[in-house]
Amino acid sequence: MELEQMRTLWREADLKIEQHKILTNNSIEEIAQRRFSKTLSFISLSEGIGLFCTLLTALFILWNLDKLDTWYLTMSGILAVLVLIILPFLSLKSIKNLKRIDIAGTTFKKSLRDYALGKKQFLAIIKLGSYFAILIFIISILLFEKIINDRDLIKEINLVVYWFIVPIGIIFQILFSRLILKKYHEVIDVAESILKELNE
Amino acid sequence: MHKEEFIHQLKENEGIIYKVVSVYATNVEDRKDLYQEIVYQLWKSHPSFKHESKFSSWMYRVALNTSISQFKREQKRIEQVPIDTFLLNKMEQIDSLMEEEMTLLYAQIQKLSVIEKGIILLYLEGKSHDEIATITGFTPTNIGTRLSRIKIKLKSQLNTK
Repeated sequence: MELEQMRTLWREADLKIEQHKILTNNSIEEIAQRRFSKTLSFISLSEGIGLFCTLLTALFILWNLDKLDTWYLTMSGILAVLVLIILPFLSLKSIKNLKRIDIAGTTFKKSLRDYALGKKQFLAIIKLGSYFAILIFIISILLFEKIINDRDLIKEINLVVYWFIVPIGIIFQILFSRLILKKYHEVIDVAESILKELNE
Repeated sequence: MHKEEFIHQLKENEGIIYKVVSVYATNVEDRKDLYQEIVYQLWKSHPSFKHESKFSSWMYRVALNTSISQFKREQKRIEQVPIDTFLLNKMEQIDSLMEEEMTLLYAQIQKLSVIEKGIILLYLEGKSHDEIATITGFTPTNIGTRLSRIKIKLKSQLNTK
């Protein structure tokens, strides 16, 4: 089928489409209004809960920083607080950048580029987060044991923690990170191919 | 643009939404979702429409740009509004009118890349290279080159079938 033939076929189908109106005044307003409220509630629920939990954890560690009485526990506490605050904010910022794409005011080419670059940036933060998750998990065990039970797991060997909780936790984190990274590579490949095609 | 004028223009050109949706979304759920999202984005953006271009060109731009961001919602599907059954019935009604050849054409277009889909859609809509360039942001020469490539690609797709 040549392009001209396709164009003719398209024009014929167009006439049929034009005869069937889907939208009415009411349906347009209903879609717009309901969609608006659904979009807002979805964003506040998923992204808000994540940020709230990490900030609460960071505040808890910060509030109990004086209980971390050795140099390595203090350093671990500060590192955990920084990671728990910075990573979610970077992630939210990149999501915000993705959503900021001006659908009505920009060209197809520019929004494709912005979207592909934004997606790459967002996924780079997710990738970084998945690496930090293992570190934060181990640090958290040390910090919470010290803050809640006043026990330093570096000095006092706890067999349940060392042989059971930590290994299971690490295996879980590695499996989870692998899952995230698999998805990461799939999406990045799509974004990369769009950017490559835009430059052709 | 006033609301009444916007609704009138939207109804006049609503075929554009159906065609963009048919090119960019493959399954029924995605099509419903994209259809509603495009209507919502048009509604949200209509106060910024400045009459600098034709309303239909502006609609193509919004619809195409919305379709790009559609794949970000693959994991985050937004709940559909209850008028879906009506929308679905109407969309299916139009689908049933399509000839076998047209279904084949849509199937071939869906195999193209996200950029190529947008360009071929505008070409089939009868837009000139200059108009396609204005809507998409590529140069008219680049549009010509891309269309030649699409032509070869479609031909080879049809030959391998």
